[in-house]
Amino acid sequence: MEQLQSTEQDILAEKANLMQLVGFFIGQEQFGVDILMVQEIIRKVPITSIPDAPEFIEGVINLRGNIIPVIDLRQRLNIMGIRERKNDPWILVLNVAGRVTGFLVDSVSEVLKIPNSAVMPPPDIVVEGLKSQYIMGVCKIDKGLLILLDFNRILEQEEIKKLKEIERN
Amino acid sequence: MYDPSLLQDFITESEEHLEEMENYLLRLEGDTGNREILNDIFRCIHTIKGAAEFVGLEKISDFAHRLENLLDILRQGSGQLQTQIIDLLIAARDRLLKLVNDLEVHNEEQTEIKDLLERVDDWIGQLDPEAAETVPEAKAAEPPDVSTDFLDEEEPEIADLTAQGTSEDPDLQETTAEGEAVAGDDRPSNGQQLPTGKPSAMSADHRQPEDDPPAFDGTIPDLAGEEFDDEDNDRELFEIFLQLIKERVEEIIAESDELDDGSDPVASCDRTAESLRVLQSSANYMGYEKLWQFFSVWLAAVNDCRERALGGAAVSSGSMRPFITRVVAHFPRIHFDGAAATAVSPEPPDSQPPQPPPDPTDPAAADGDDPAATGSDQMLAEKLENAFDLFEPTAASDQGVSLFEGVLNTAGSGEQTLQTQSPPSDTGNEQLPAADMQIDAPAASATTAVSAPADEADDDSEEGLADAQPGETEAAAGEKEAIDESVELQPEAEPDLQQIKPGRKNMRVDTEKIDALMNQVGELVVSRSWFSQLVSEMRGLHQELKETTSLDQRELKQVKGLAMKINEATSVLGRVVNDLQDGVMKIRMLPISQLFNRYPRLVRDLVRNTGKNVRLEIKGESTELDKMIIEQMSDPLIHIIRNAVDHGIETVADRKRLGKPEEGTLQLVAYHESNHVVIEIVDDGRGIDPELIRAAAIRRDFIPREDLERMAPKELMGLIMKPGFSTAREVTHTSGRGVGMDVVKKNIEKLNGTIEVDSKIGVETRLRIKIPLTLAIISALLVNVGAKSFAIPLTSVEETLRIHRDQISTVEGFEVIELRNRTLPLLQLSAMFDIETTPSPDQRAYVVIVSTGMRRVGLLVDTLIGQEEVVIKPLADYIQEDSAFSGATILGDGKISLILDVDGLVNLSVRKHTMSRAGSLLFEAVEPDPEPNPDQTGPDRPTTEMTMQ
Repeated sequence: MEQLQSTEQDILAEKANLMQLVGFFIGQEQFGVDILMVQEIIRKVPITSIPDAPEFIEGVINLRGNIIPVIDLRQRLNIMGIRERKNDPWILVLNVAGRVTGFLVDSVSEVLKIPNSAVMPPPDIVVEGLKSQYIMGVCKIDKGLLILLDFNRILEQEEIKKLKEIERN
Repeated sequence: MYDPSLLQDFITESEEHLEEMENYLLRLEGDTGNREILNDIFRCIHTIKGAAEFVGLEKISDFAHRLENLLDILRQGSGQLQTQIIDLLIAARDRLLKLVNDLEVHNEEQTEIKDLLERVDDWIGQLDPEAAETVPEAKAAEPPDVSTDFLDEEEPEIADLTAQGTSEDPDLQETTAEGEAVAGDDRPSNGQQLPTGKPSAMSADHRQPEDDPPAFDGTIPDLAGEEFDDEDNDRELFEIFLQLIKERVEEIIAESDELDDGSDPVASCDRTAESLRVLQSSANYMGYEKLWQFFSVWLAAVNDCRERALGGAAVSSGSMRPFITRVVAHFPRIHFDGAAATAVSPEPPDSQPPQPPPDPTDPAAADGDDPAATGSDQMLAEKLENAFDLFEPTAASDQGVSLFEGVLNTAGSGEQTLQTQSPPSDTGNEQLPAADMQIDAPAASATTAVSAPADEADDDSEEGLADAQPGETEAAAGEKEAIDESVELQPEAEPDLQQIKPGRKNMRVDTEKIDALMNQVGELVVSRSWFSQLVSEMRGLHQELKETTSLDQRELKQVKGLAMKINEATSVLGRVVNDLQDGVMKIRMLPISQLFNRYPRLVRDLVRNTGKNVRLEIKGESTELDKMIIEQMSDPLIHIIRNAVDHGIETVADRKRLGKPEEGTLQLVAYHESNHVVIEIVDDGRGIDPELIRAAAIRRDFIPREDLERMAPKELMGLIMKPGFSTAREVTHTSGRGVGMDVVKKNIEKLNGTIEVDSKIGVETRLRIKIPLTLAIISALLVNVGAKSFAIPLTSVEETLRIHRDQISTVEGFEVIELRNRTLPLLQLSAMFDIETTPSPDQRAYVVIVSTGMRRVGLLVDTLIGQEEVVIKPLADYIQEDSAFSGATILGDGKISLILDVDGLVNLSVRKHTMSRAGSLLFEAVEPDPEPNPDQTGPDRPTTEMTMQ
């Protein structure tokens, strides 16, 4: 009984201090996103491309009757070292402040539990060409550095519009 | 001062009522002697007032109150109403609407109403001479004041006032209106309790101020509250108390009979007073403050009576009766001997629980020895009776209604009371049982409504109740006939009541909820196809098992059976899903009457002082369409109707000369046509002369002469909707049509609708608007380009051609084709969208000619798939904005097809081709082409196939 209680307490304590992240890869780089934002993770969905859309907009998919945009995260973040994209990418469907959006990633790894305290502010150095404004924080894990992305920033309207214009000109 | 949470409800409801009121007013205008309509209008105002008080809006409630006064006088009169009054009422309605709009925009009542208030008062003054003499006289003036005072719980004053009233205070009588105004002023301060109390108190005010009872009634329900609290008191004590009341009241009844005999009024009064004192003290003992108050007031009245009797004046029991009635009604459990005879007016069983705790006090009986009955008393009594008589027939439908609202409210608040209440003993009210039963049902619901706003102010609401009470008496009189109606008309101030109003079964739902539901249904549809897929997989499995394994028949049969069962279940699911889908779609649909009902007023205003006479006929108003579309059709229709009345229909004199009926007719007709709703606006005016249009077009050099020569009349009609044309003076001057018609057309096109004009000179003009049932679904032409499919809204498709690639030539870097001697720019979708295509071996391709606004262009596609109804789904804003697409749709196979936005497409092509001047000119040059009359574009347009070498 006592043991049980202590486990419960542990869980509570853990909940308070731990972040649960869904880890994913783009190239060699490992990223994380708060699990609460993740609506689902899908593969093998036909993507309908949008003519004349910015390159980072991969297209739209039919998600159970809703048409949602899919953004190629690699292109959006301009991550260097673009090796050919994998043939069978994953789509991470996130709810970013009410806007359901799919993000194309190379693979989804696992759910990570990370203590809040382990998250550090983004470093000044640019990781693989990734600008630090999209990074919420980084944290060290066994296999290296995990980058927490700021998806609100990634979907910023004005910026997307500008990118669209730049691409057109 | 108001409760913001209720504001939104108030706004929507008031708007509805004002709309309704407008309709009534317009009807009244055509039938100025109709009291029924006046009653309807009164009801609207009354409801608004009640709600405004409820929310705490002073201006509106005050204004509405005055209007009520005016209407009340009007409906008591007879004969025709003067047009000025109707105008005033209409102006007042508009002002109320403005106030309501103020609330919506600024959250406060900003608009001034003084001027109208003055006008209303003027009229009341003018019409009132009789009212001032007869009506107010018939009503002793005290009740309004008393009732308000009761609200404020100023006992001493109550007593005073009552006394005054009984003594026929001239001031009070003269100033009924004032008294009411006072009541009005007090109201705001009473905020929340008012909704319940006021309606009835109100009616009491100006209807029958004669009865003091309202005041006392007021006390009684409060008592109910008290009793409730004391419920755990000694039962025995309570029984004794009741017994005491019975005895004493019976004595008083006897005394008052004696009073009428007139033998020794002063003694009678004294005996009555004595009894009352006993009652008063026992009420005090029991802790029934309100009851004590009631008896105190009564006592004051009796003493007053005695004074007069002493002075030698004649006294009657008239002033006593209402008290008796009240008390009798208040204790339905007690069988009062002689009560039936006494009751001046029928009383509904009040909603008080007769379970007050017992009282051991058994005070001695009292013997009065005073003279009674003064002349004034007698008069008062008569008036009382007259008033009640008056009340029954006239007020039945209306007054009763409003009063009944009060009853309902009261009953609601005191619901528990109601339930515990024993059936009314013979309290002298034959109507009681009926009324009681009626109250019961709505009461429950009313409870929620009342308790919600009042919950923090429990005491207050009790007060409110108290005030509502007076209504009951009167309601009882009138309500028998009015019951059905009144249930329907229950106070609309409380949103909670919406659902249970039998007359109106609507409820308001947030559109977001419906959209969410819609999406869920969409998912269900997908699940259904998933199931269908599972069925076929199951069959496949069965087949496979049969062929590859050595299972015997019996085992296989199980698999087969299961497959069949799943199949059945799936088809059942499918049916339900279909129904559900239809049902959800229908939720968004509203009858078009919501749109059409806005126009009678418009027509009225337009016709005024023009020497024209126009009758608006509305047909098919129950045709349903999407609410969004209804909203967006409003302005275009206003425009069209204005045109028809201003320019189409001739003046009475002209019509006479032409041998037409004097009264012009304007028809608004709506009906379904497959997936569209057609709205026709037909006037029997002078019509449009195509020759005049032609002449104007030539004069303005709008279109090449030779084209004009060729054009059919119907095409010429279409010209009036061309942007440049609409402002042409010549046309407006002669045929009168066309001002702003391009805007109308644009608005309708925005809804994926079409508009056509047809006219016979001197006979009629007919505008035919065809719009889709819902914005969410459009008819589209599906085309293939390479492996991709696109949907082109059918409303922008003019025609389709099949061409040979050789026909395509290039002008300034733009591909064009020659079509009927005109140059048509071409857009190759495959090139624009970077889609790989393999040209068909026969070098043929399809061209879809699309137009929007001023552009006309051919889209080169690989194949035409066909026409389909598609559901528009928006794309993410950053994709859709400034793109060639207006959305996307999901096809039957689950694939996504993008919906082309022709304007965006042209813009895109311009951008893509580092636009040369010539190129842009090319596009612009298309503009004035009158050839494809856009009015004839429609889903049913035939497809031309052109084969050229």
